[in-house]
Amino acid sequence: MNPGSRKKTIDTLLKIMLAVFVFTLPLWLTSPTYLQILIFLFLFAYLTTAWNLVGGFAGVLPLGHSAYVGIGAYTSTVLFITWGISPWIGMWVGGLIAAIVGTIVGIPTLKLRGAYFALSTMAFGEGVRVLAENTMKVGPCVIDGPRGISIPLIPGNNFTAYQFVSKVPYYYIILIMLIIVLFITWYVSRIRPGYYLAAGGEEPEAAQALGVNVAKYKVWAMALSCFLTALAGTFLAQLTLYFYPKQILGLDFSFELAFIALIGGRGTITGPVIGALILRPVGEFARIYLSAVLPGLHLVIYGLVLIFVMLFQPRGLVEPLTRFYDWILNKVSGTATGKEVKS
Amino acid sequence: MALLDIQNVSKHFGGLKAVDQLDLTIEKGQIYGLIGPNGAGKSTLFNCVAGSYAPTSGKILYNGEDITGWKPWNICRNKIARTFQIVKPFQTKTVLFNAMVGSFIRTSNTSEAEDMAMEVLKKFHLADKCNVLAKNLTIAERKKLEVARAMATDPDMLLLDECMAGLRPNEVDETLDIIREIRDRGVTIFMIEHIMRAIMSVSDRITVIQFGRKIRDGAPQEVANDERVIKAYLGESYGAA
Repeated sequence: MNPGSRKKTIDTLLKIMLAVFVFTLPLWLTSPTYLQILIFLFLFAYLTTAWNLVGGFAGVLPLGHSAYVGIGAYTSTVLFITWGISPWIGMWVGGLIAAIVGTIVGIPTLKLRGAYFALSTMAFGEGVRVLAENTMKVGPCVIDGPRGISIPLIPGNNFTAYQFVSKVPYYYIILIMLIIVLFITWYVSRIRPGYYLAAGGEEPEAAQALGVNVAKYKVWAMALSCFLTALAGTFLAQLTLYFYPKQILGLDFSFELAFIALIGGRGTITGPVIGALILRPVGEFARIYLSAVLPGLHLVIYGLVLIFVMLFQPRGLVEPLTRFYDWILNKVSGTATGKEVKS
Repeated sequence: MALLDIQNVSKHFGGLKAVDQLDLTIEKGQIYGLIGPNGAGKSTLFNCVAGSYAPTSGKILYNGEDITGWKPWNICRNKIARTFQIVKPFQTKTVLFNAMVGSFIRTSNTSEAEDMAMEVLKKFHLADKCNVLAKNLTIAERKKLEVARAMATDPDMLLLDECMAGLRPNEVDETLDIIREIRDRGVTIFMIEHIMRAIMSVSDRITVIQFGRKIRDGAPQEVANDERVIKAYLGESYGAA
C-alpha cells in the first residue's frame, strides 16, 4: 500500500473511531453532570453551525440568533401546553415561523454592510426579548412575561411528549441533530447556492457581475439558518423544561454563538464544532466555580480567548488544527511532508 | 443591427454630469475602445451598461432589447460579462472556485461547472494554478483570472475595464493576444484602456470622451490625429502644433 492511500485509510479509521466513541460515550460516562455538559456542548456546536450558514458563508455577523432559539422554544411549548400538540410536531411549526420571521428580518437588513447588519440583528433580538417579557397572554396561549414557562412534567419517559428521565436520550437526539446539520452545511458548501453565498459574502460586486443575485442567496441562507436554530430551541426547552426570556432570548446567548464561530473558524464546516469543544468546557468551569464571584465571567473569558485567537489566528483555530492533524497523519502513514502545502 | 446601442445616456451624481448625453454603437464582432483622460466618465459608462448604476436618462439597447436599469446579475445572464478596473477576486478561495462562480451561470451541476471552469482556465494558462488561493497570485495572474472568470459565464459581449494597467510590456502583449483570441471566438469586446500602444493596435473603432461627452469616434488612426483629442490629452497649448 502506498503512503497516500495508507494516509486515507488511517484518516477514515480515525473518523470511524471518533464516531464509535461519541455514540458509545453514554455507556460508560454515567454522570448526569458530565452528560449535561456534553449535551450543551453539542447544542452549541449545532446552533453555531446553523448560525454559520449566515455568519460564516454569507459573510455577515448576525448577533440576534437567540430570537430564533426563543421562537422555537416558545412555539413548541405553547402548542404543547395549550393544545397538547407533541413538541416533535411543534418544533417544525417553530422552525417554519422562525424561517418566515428570519426572511422578513433578512430582506431589509441583509442589504446593510458590516456593523450595521450586526447592530440591526442585535436590536431585533433585544426587541423580541422585551416583547416576550411584556406579553402575558396571546389569545389562549400563556406566555407569562418575564417569569417564563415551565413545561408540565409527565412522569416517566415519554417519547411523544419529548420528555425523558435520563439525560441519555437527549444526548443522542442532539448528537444526531448535530450530525444532520453538519451534513447540511457540507452539502450546501458543495452546491451552487453555497458557491454563490461564499462569493457574495466575500466580494458582493464581483459576484453580482458574475450573475449572482447576492441578496436573494443571503435571505435564503438566513431562512435556512433560522429554521435550524428554532429546532434547537425546542430541544433546549424540552431539556430544561423551564425557560424565561432573559435566559433563552438574552444577548449573551447570541454573542456566545458568534464567539464560538469566530474562535473555531467562520465559514468552515468543522470550525463551530472545534470552537464549541474549546469554549464550552471553559465556560462551564467558569459558571460552576466562579459565577458566585462574578456572574457572566465566562463571557469575559471568551472575550480574552477571542482576542488572542484573532491576534494570532485571525481565521480561527480550525486552520492550525487541520494542519496539525495532517502532520500527524503524515507522520503515522509515512507520507512525505510538504507535498500538499501548496496554498 | 448593432449589438450594443447606447442612446443619449446621461448619469448624474448630484450636480456632476459624469456621463452627458452620450451616443455609442457597437457592432457584433468588433473590438471597441473607449478612451479619455482620467475622470472623463469611462468607468461610469461601463457601470451603466453593466447594471451597477441605472442611467439618469437615456436608453441602452442590447440585441435590440432595452436593458436600461437592469440589475447586474440579469445583465450577466443576458450574456454581457464585465471585469473591474480594480480586480476583485474571491481572495480566500481557490482559482478554480473563482472560475466556477462564473460557470455556475450555465449549469447548476457542480461537476459540470467544474469542468467548464477548468476548460476556461486552460485557455488562460491558469489550469496548473487551479488549487492556489487567489490572494497568492501575482497581479498579472489576478488580472488574467478576472478576465477568465468573466469568460466562464460564456458571454457574447465582454466589458474590459483597464485590464492591462500595471502590467509589464510583455504581459500587455500576451493580454492583447488573449483579447484577439476571445474576439475570434465570436465575443464582441468593449474596452477601456490607458495604454495607447495597446488600444490603438487592437481596436477596430475608438470613442474618445471628456467631461462625460463624446469628443470623437472613428478608426484608431483618425482618432489619434484629431486636434480635439490631442488637446484633451495634452492640454490647449499642444493643440495648435
